[in-house]
Amino acid sequence: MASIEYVRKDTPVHNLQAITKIVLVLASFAVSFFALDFVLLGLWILFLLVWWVIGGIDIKRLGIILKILLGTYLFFVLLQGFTYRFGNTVLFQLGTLMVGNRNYAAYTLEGFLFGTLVFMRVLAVVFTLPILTMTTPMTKLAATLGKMKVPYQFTMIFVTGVRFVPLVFQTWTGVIQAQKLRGRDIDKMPLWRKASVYTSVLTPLLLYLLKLSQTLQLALECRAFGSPAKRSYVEETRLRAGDYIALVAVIAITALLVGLKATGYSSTPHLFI
Amino acid sequence: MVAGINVADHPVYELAEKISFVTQDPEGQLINPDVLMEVAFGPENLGVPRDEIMRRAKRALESVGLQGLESRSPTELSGGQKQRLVLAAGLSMEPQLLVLDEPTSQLDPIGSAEVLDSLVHLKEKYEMTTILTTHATEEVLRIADRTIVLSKGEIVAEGSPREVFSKVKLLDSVGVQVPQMAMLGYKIAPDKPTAMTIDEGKRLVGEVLQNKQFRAKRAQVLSSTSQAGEVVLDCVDLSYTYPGPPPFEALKNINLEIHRGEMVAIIGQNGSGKTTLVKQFLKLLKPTKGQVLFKGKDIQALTTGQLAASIGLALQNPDEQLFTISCKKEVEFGLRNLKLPEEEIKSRVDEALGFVGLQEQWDTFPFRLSFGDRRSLTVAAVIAMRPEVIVMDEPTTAQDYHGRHRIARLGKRLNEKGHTVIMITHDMNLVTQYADRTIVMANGTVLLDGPTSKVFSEVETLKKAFIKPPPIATLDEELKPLGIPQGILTVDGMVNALAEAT
Repeated sequence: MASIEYVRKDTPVHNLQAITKIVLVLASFAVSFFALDFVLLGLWILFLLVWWVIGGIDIKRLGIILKILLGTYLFFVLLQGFTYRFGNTVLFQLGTLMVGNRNYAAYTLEGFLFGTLVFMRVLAVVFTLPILTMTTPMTKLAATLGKMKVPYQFTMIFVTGVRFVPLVFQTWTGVIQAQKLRGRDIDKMPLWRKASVYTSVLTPLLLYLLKLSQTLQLALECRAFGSPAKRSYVEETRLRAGDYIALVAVIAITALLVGLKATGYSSTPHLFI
Repeated sequence: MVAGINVADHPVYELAEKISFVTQDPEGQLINPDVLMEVAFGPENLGVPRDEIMRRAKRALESVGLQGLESRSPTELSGGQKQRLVLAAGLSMEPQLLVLDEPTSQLDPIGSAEVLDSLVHLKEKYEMTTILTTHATEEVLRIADRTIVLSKGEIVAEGSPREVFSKVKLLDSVGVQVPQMAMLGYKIAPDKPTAMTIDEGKRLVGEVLQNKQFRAKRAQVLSSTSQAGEVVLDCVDLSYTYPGPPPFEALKNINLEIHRGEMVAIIGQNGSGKTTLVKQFLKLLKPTKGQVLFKGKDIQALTTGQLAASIGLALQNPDEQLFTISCKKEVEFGLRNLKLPEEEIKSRVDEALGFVGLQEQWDTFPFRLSFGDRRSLTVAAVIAMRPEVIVMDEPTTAQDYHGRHRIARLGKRLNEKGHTVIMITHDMNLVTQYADRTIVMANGTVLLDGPTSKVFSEVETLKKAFIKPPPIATLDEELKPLGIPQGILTVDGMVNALAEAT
């Protein structure tokens, strides 16, 4: 989670309005669904990486995201490798498991490639999120969602949720440390006993967070949160030149990639029939 | 009734337009990612037009001295700045009444001074009505027009600070600390008008002394210095950098020895490296450079759990340190890890709870205790394990006068029994009264280290760490021309010195 929190910087991406970046997120969904192709998705991911660079997002975070998603990738390529219905080129097989005409114990090249393609679809969406969350302060996002008629209470749930994530980790570490300080030698415990210690941490963690949420509730109410008055916003949400340029680029590239796919383009026509 | 309305009949968001409420924990009250948004949040909720919000935000930030920091993240601010930001966020609602619940209890001396200066400014410039609850009576003396003393839900004294703080016996009986000058006046000249300021204290001492003089042999530093025993903790070129982003060097080449049987106070501004240092003693943080030795052995070979049997550490936030269903079980937890026999466990639990005054609440769920009592319980859990070294990080925060001294006396008693006691605190009265040795930290380095009386005589160096000696030390310094012994840090020390004059 820490890898997608807002980082204050002065970059052209930071200076864009939240709505522009929300359009980018929506475009990512569109491309990943309607332009399922190695080259097209690859181009889109490259386009997103340009945003990363311009937005000053540490490229090292790509590694963190990829590491987190490694399990997902393995799952996709294993599942599709054995089950992809257009799989013909057998790379290896673990025996015979015939269902109809298909041997589900055979791992195919087409399945592997299709699994990789599905994973690229996931990457196309996941790589967009840091562009929104790491370059947009919550207040700007809240103001934009407010303008989009999203009830402020919903926005606030999201904002406070994001605020609580680091606190949960901090408290978790604090409680574990406190148990160590009372002689509980967690470091030397076998894994199964460690797991039971971690379970026992949940109760104080939840209690502490409940208490914290009460403090937060008081702080919110003391600032008239919940007032029936129509909320105003200090954040400017008017689009500027940079937003128009970015929007044109996003819409044009999305239209190009989706259009190419719609007109039958495929970088691997012999594999995905 | 507040500001003409019955509070019971109105929701909090309506009251918020008339009353601004600031609690003791600034962290829990900050919601937004930057200073301007924090201040604008309340008026936004009320639907105040943008231009008006900007005007109010500007005024509120100027009132608390935070102008120019609009785009900063609240997480980047110091403790004092955070609390002033909470204050500004309330002021932007343009309330009629400002209510502050122990706003300085978690702040260092400079942070407290910043908040109090802001309150004085608000009072002088805007005639803002302010209600402040606090245990810090020296603060009250400085800023309040009227003082109310509450005990067990009843008003027991009311009037100007001068009137109220003259009632020394009453205040003492209800656990309110009497300002040092008032206490000194009460002890040396009970029939005379109560002294409140250092100048008044000086005049009073002058009158008491009249033509009496001090014998030359007494003109020396009075406080004791500790005897250096075996080195139990040794920091060698110790550095620690928090990884960030951005990285922050919290400790810079610390070389420090703690000897067996010492009673040491570590003081310094928030963020000076005090807590980071003591966390190194138990390997809660791994040094970036250098090492920590416990009785000559590098602690890296041991786990925190193993070290805990010899070094006890009660950290600042009690809510992260309490994890069982009763006070008794909380204290038992560590003892069971030490695999002590049942009888021994029972006896130590009773003793530890008794030490901190929680014997009656042995079956209470820890989260139901007051903040001060939760802190005391964490201390009880540590001392029950009887470690050789006891480290207490801000054990007296949010405690009343009696609670603070009970914990400090407990530390002293354990020290007298042979334990090495290290205490981090912002309470200079406790430091001067109980610590033999004081370490002053600033910007990750040790600025001063020595016998407490000697450290507090280094007034100019202390200023660099934003530490203000207690009033009695300043009075002692100012009475130097009268030949009074130097190095006096407590009221009793001053009373004894004056009694020596002939």
